[in-house]
Amino acid sequence: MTALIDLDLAAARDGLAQKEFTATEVVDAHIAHMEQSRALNAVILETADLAREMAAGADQRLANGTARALEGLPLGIKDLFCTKGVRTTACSQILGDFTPQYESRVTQNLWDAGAIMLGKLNNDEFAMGSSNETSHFGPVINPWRGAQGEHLVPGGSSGGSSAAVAAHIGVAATATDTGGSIRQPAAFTGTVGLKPTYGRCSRWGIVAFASSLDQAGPITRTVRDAAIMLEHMAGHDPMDTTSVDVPVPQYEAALTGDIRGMRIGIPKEYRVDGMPDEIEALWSQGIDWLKAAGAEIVDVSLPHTQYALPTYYIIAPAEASSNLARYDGVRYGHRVNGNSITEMYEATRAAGFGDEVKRRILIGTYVLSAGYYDAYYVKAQKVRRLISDDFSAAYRQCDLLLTPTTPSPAFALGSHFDDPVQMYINDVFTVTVNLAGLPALSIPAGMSATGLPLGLQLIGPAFGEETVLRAGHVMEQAAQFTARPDQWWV
Amino acid sequence: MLLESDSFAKVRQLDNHVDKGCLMSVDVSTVRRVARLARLGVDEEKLPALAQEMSTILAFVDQLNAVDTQNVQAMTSGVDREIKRREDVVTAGNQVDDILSNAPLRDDDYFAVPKVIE
Repeated sequence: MTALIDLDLAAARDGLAQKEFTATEVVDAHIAHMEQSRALNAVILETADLAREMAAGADQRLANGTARALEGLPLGIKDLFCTKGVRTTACSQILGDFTPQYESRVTQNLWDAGAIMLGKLNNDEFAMGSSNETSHFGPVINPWRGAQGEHLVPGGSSGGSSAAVAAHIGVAATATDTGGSIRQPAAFTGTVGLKPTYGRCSRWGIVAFASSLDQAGPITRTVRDAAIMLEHMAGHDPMDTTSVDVPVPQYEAALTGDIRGMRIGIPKEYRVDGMPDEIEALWSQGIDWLKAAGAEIVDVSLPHTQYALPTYYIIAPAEASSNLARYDGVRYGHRVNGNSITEMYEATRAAGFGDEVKRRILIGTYVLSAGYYDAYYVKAQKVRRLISDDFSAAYRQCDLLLTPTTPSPAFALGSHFDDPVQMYINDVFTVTVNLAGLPALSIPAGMSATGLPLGLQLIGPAFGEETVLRAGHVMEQAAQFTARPDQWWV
Repeated sequence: MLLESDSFAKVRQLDNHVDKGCLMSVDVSTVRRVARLARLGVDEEKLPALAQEMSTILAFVDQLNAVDTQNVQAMTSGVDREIKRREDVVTAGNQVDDILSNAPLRDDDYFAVPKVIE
């Protein structure tokens, strides 16, 4: 029998339903593995007691025939999600030991479906980063190592989620994506990452970064697992007015394996200068797989692609500077005293925020300040419209777009780019999707010359998750990505 | 007061540059002013490095000036739908202890802060 920690979510679900093992056995196996995997620093707060208690409840339901869709399945939860009675910090010192008195909608939906929380997962501070190195709890180590055994980053901001799923600490994890924070870490760790349409999942109870871009989604080991997770994360919520009131499909049913006649667009602007040959080759391979399955390939143009990163690096910091104004040491979190209230604010925020967060608050405050608002912020919102219109035009010619997820495989821990803009380049293939509010899926599709996973991305029209998942499932079957990192950390 | 009008003059000066499509790089006094607006304490010795970083990022985003956005409507939301409204009714309340449970300093049923008015 497969070891319990090696079961993917669907297999664990089916085994529990068949009574091949109990939820307590599944959860205990994952807790033991989580404890053995501390070297990765993926989990910043283990909730083993809570997990065992939830597992006992799950076993009762499994026994008496009242089991729900995710009954007994142990998940990792990104520390951006508020969890009632369980410390939530967004991996920032400024939140201190903040203990929410309420549950985020997405996690509540998962618990209502019977899922179990194993622990809270590491991420870049306030989800600002592409390498998980800005966390107040320290960096996460990618389970995949370099050719010489050197430590690599797991991507970011959902680096704890990607590492935890790649290392089999949890069967799946929640994550969030503002500029690529689900898909880029998935690509760096050989996992599947799904960023849903903006408005598909409620943002209520998720620590806000850039509210017009933020969206929650799953990181899993298979496309089927991503479909299952999304179904139980998504839905309208009166507490988030931007969550859209449309029915949540049974996403798993979309995995028919049939994509005959589907039109796949290849955006020529994603063929960027200096793209490594292996990324180019992977992309061509993906095209061939989809063609072989009966899809039609269409060349499309997204002419404003090159402006996506500069647009993002105005809009995201602007919204962040506004959202992070609430951390002032008054109502919760860390406080540093001062002689006046202004001194207290300034000292609290100086001590509580890390360098990357401060940098973005300053940029955001600058572009929103008197005299610059129109030149920067409104200008960026107008270019955002053009980027979004590019996608609308492309979807008149095709059903989905196929691109690489990242321009490179995972890079070394501590690379410390001197120029912040260099680090931002990681997001070049992913930010456009957030600006346009679209759904996108990254699947592990191949290996680099250095033996590291590489991802391909499928981008759909708004609320086109079923089409994205159907094509992703076909590509997953063609790719047969079965490589796993050796368990050096155990 | 003098300080206030001084900084307004500076903004106006910068505005002229903006109009000419020539965005200035950020100097130390601008970082100090922005940090003040953001209520973010910054050590004096860190200001030059921050000015340099901000200038690099702003130089990078300046390429947006090459895009013609005349007659383009700003996109202000990630979702292209009318926002659903809910009924204007009270749905929660009487949660004083929950709300104050994470307060760094509490005084009876209030958040306590340093004196605001002398």
